[in-house]
Amino acid sequence: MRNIVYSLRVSEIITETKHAKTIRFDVPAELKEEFFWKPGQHITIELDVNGERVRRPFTISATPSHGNALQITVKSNPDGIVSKFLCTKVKVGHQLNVMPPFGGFTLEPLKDRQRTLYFFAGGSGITPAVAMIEAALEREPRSKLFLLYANRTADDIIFKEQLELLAERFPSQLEVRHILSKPSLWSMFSPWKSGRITKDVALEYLSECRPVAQDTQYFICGPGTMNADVREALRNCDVPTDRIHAESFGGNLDMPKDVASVPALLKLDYYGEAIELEVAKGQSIMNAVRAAGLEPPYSCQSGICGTCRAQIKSGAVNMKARMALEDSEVAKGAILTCQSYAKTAELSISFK
Amino acid sequence: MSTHSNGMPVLPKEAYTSQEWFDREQAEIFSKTWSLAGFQEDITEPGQYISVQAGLNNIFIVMGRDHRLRAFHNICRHRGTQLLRAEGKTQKAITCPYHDWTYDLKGNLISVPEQEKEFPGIDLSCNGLKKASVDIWRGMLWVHPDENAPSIINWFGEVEPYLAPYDPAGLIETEEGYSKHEIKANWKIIVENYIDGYHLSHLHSHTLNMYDHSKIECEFIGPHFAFWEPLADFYAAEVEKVTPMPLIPGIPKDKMGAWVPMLFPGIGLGESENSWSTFHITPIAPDRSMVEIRTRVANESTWAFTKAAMASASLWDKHLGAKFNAGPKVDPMSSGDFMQEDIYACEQQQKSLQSPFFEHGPSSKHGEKPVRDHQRVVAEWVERKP
Repeated sequence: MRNIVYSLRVSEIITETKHAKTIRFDVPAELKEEFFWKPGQHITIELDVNGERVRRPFTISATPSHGNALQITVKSNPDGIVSKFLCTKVKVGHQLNVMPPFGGFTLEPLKDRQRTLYFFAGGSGITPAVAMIEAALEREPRSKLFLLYANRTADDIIFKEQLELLAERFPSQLEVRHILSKPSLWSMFSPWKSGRITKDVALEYLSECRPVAQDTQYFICGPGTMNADVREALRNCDVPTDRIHAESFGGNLDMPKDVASVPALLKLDYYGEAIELEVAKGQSIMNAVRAAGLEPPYSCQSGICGTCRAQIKSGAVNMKARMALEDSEVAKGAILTCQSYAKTAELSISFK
Repeated sequence: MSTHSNGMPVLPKEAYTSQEWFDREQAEIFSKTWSLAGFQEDITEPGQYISVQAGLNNIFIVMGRDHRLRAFHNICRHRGTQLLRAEGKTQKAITCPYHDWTYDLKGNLISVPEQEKEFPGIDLSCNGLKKASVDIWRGMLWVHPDENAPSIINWFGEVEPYLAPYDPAGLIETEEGYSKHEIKANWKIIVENYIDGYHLSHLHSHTLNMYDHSKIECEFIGPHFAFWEPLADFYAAEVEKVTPMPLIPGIPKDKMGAWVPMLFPGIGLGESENSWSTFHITPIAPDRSMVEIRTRVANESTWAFTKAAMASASLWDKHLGAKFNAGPKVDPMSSGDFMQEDIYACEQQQKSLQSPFFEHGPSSKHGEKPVRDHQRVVAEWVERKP
């Protein structure tokens, strides 16, 4: 993927909850193909904040069909410059800088299959889940879908009505359960459980929601601790790792400490162009590449989105975080350049 | 052989009598297709298992701790001993009775007695159980010997629109509806009997007359036979009142009747307005087959069943009966039971195949077309080049 930013017009803004808004974009006809997405993928929004360029990935919260608009759903995070800006400052008619859809956390519907699809979502983690759920309901008529969705209160549930409508429309296919950490005593809404999605809750959920179709897939999209807990529950009951798919949402990430690095000579295959440059000790590959005046694609800068992915051809790197990559991809040489530090004095890496 | 414009059987007499044909069918048909292994409710807890013979393969299905089913070839990787017998509940591991080699529920070999002394340097990870495929379809368990089998939807998807419009998984099994019969006939003779529309109003003139055989809709969908016929008028008129068992919900009034497909190979379903059953034919020898019948009915109270039986008894006394009146002990044709009538017809046909005077007779244009079509499907599969 090349690093191209397009200016898109905001066509509609929908208030989902007190803290979350959906922003829709007009995609001009000539960019339709460029902006076609797979359910679960994200786009990157680029803002200029006090002269500094800031990029953040946001999941596309709709399924790519029925002429659905390209849309993201953003939960305002008090510490998040970009999310706060999007939730408070952006108006219909504004132009925003957007990078095309990207990401490997996707669900591709398989028409002639029957599967059991489990979704564990927390807060804004519902955004990829809802896109995947809609896609599967439309195009996998024999599959059964289970969604467990965690929020603070009933008022924080994003897409509450939309999920209710889907469950009504596909009663034999979709089962939605809610879990609330701070349920209001005055609310009419009664969740399946109060609390958080812990390991024990996940295990209890799985034993109640048993698969009929034996091709099971597990999608986890919540805060770091929830993801770790669900993963542990799944591993504990022998779910094969290749059936578990996860993406981190909304903080609580256990970021690893600094990793060891050495100064290195980097031979770069930059979209077919051969470039040599130096990487300093303690400098990420991404920063070294950008320091050389190149503009590789990147977005979240925390190892979640996978936008800065490249392929290592020789040498080795240490990665800080790599949630966007499956173990099997790492084994084949995939790296996240913004999280990678040279481990060997000579490196060869390719961007495609 | 006589010639006849209406069509002649496709398969030779040997297809029903010779060991060679039997062996070829076991290898080419029954070892390469999805086999019925049971009902979904046969395995409900982690560690519980069943084993089934699917052609040349013995396969067991076990539920993992994630409640997902896994299927393995029932062969210890050491000397090949069968690991599990029939059905039961294991704990967390499967141990071979011969030398106590032990596998976990994921099929990994986890322990070999006296490993260091007897098998120095053995790599346990290369000796896991061989995987097969398992899935659930229409509330039934299915296995396929190939780990990478084509999806079960790929195999049955096209015939689904021709089946009853209700979900059999929502029904409950009834003990009265269970029976097992060893029939002295080749499996194809039993299939041919099952799909022969010509015999219904003759052999079963007094037993299956609650359906209107003049309005049969049937055809082959790929290798599977689809069949539907509506209720007979006298029954349809007041079906809610006179059904002998509670009706299964979800059937539109104009489709009320019987769906009786024969899925390939040899798995018949009987999906009706008030009961749902599997008719599973397993070949044992060229001239012998096992048929196991399991039945599910609407999930209603015992009282609802009693009430329906009482309310409808007088009507059915009038309409059902035996074709001949010699008494069932003397003549199976006077049993008043259509299953007995069919078994008798099949066994007599198999016997006659031994006679040097036997020759194939002409086959009827419409009613017996499915018989010829099934023979063509069988011929295609046994002649298939790998």
